[in-house]
Amino acid sequence: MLLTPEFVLAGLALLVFTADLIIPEGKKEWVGRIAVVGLIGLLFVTASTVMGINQPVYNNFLLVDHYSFVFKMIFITVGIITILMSEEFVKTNLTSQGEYYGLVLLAILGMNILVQSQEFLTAYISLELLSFCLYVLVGYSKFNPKSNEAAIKYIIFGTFSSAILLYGLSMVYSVVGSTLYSDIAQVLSTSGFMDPVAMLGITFIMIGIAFKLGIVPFHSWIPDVYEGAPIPVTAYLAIGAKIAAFAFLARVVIGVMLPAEELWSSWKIIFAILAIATMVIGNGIAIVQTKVKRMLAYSSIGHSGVLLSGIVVFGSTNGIVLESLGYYLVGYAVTSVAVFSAITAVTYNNNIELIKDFAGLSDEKPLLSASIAIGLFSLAGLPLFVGFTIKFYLFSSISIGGYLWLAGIAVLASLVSLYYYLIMIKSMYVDVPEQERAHADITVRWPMWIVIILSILMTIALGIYPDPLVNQLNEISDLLK
Amino acid sequence: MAVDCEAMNDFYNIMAFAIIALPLITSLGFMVVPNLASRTCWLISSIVSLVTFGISVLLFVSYDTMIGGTQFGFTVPWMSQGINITFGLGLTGISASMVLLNGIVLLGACLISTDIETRGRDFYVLLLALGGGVFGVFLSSDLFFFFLFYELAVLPMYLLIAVWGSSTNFGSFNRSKEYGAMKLMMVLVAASVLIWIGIIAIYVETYMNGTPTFVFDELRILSESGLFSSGFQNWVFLCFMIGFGVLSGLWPFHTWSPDGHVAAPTGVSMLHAGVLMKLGAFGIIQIGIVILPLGAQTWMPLLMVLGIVNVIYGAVSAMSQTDLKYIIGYSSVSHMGYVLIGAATLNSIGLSGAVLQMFSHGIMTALMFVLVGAIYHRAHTRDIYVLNGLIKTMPHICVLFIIAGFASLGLPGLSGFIAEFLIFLGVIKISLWIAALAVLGAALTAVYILRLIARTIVGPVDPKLENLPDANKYEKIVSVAFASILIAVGVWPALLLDSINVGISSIMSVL
Repeated sequence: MLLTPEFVLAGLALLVFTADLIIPEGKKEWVGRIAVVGLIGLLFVTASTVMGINQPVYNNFLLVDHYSFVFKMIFITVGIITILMSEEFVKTNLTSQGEYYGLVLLAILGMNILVQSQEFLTAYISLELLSFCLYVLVGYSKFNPKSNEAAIKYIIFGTFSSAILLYGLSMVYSVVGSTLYSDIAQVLSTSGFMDPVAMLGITFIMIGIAFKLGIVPFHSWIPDVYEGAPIPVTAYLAIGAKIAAFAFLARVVIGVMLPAEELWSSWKIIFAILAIATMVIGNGIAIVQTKVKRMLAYSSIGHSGVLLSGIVVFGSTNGIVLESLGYYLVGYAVTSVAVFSAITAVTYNNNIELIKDFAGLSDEKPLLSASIAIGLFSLAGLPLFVGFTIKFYLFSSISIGGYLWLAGIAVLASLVSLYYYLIMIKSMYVDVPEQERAHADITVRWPMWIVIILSILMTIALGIYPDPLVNQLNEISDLLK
Repeated sequence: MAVDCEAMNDFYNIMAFAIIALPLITSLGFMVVPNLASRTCWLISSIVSLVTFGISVLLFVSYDTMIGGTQFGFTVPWMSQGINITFGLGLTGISASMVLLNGIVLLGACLISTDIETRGRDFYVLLLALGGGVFGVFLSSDLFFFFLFYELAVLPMYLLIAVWGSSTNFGSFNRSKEYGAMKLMMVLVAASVLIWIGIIAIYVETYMNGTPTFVFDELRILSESGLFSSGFQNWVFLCFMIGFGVLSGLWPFHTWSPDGHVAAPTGVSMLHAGVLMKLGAFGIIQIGIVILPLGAQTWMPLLMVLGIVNVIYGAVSAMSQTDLKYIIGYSSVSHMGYVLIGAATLNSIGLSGAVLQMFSHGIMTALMFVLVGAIYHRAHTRDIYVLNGLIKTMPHICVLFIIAGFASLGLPGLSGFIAEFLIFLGVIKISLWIAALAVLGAALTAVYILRLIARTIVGPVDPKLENLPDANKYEKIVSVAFASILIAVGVWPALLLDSINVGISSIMSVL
């Protein structure tokens, strides 16, 4: 049964909700631990049932192939990490603690189906499943006004963008008569195809997706939502939701737009312009941020721009585009986990929000500040860390695709990002704290240490020896051939 | 004499890898072992740098100047899917002397950093990463790892300067160490952006040709076969020239250098001014000229002009400084100008003079930073109006400062003379005017060095400074060693010139 992992995941989510009813208050972290154990089991289930298979399901509505397998493994791993990371935060700060874990599981389910879908309605439904779980998770700090504000903003922007996507889809359907990617591609690729309704429809669909990705000029929700959400949820948004959205966009581009060469050649240019705008604005505004979460939000907008420039070169005659994008996503995920988990450890039981409140951290908590520093150096693209190798790989693939100038702008953007990451590092290592022992009350428990140490080790390991991962990802490049 | 048997070859290959791996692994080790005292870290770092010094001497001495070319090292595939990257090491005639330079300066930097008390472990983590990265740059035989190690050498700079450095407070002139650190870091990474673009452009050309590679030797063969058009070479060489030039302190992108080196702690200044600035010139020579000779020929006049501006501008700026360390900083900018005009001559005399100047100036400036650091540590000021007549209180430091100063202005018998003489000979073949200005630069150097010595070293001593202690034993060992090297190379330049000339002749075959 090809969709076994999804059924198991849905069952696991329901099990977790049931467990929440049984497990008493004060021990709700066991709900999370059940979820983690279940997810680890799910990794094995997925590997054993789905690896190496390339088969459409349900009349071509879903496609179970190596691409979806790789991304499903990534999503489940990100889920495990998020739950481990959240444990302390949830215990100290949130009400209705058990449901938090169930929502994370349902979000993973949404991501899994999204990356497998081969037609727009399935994609839309799974995207909505993912989004609704995220809307609730963002507003989970019930008594924090910022969290409520973030949730309202996210819901309004999110449903608005979903509505635009649906509107575009309906326009395309009216012309094509089907919502399958392949059918739409067939109609679009007839030469000289210029039907204005279909063009408008594709545009609206892309706008809807661009909202989810946080591409300029549809990015304005990201800083407020990332800032207001509880920090483990911010991490989940920045890592899991972003990877899912890009995996979805890649599927849409490959399935719908690449076969239509004239259409794709114009959309390439649009994507390139949007990518430049995103990189410039994301990194530029991050410079002036004083709050950690907002700085990370704009930084993640900048990284979205880099990823979008990777998508620009789809369809060029080289085969490494998809794997360089996949490698970038994995490396970005690993590094972001290091940064976010360490910052979560620092901020979960106090209200440190500003960058300058991190002053003196290196004296009191050297391992935590070293983790943040390593993660930030890696995000800036400095070597021995995975951030350098992923950037080199992606920029090489963009240049080989004929867009050296775009790679040059991306490199300049990462130069700018180095500046504001250095400001954060300076705050931890150089600045003198206003009061002695300002961080004495930070305690970090073992689940968090596992996440932090593992992610730092992976950051260094993937940077020094990327070959096994790249070989795995190489197989998903077959999708483009 | 190279020994021919397999085992010896493998031994040297392993040594080439060990000289990079040892500092990096020690640095990683320091990160994970808890509760290490500063003194322990200093001891371990000094031992490790002693070992790398030994290996660098071994590699330098074993480099067979009869055969030339690339010796030692090995190549393993690193990433084979998609992008073809191999990890390769190799020693050329030029990099042999550079590896030796780094070995010497790293040892000196570790030994004299006994005054690092706070967070000593972090300091040595970063310092050893810096040292290991520089070894990697000089030993890499492919562009990807060249660039990786180059960025690795830049990575620790912000923390090294901002945490353990010193700010300058002169009433009207204030430069905090954070300012110097941020400026250095941002300018160097911006320069590396240009280098990155150039490297990727070269790779794309080879990919389009069907032979994707980053390896120097293969790129050289491809370039000789005419793969890179002259238009392509022109713009890519310009990227390299400016990118590597910024690292060498090319005017007008040199401003990071005085601020950064002054703010840095002594050991870091030694490594940076002594070795890292040479990395830029090394890049221009070993990569720019070899892979892109047509581009080099196009842009060399510009490099020559900018280089001579370096010489004169740096010397004049040094004349007006009142901070002792700033004088050394601007003097470095000026002397790197000699390296750049030597590289710009594109003839074998000029190029070998440039490489010899890289080595000579590296030792000389490291020596000066040791001495200036020692003075600052004791007197707690670098103001040359305050520091007077130090020779009475710190004779050892001052005598060696005089020797370093004479090497700086090119006194015969010290290595600076040979290097500058070769550069002048090379330049005069290209342009009489530039050579005249270069000699003028040497005269200007004499002005500010001698004025500095007259005021700071000799003369009546300020009573506040009378009871300062002289150099401690590590500073003594390091400074005497460095000065002896300057004298040795000055008296017997063949020590270095043999291998340098071999390296240069293999480059000249491209032009």
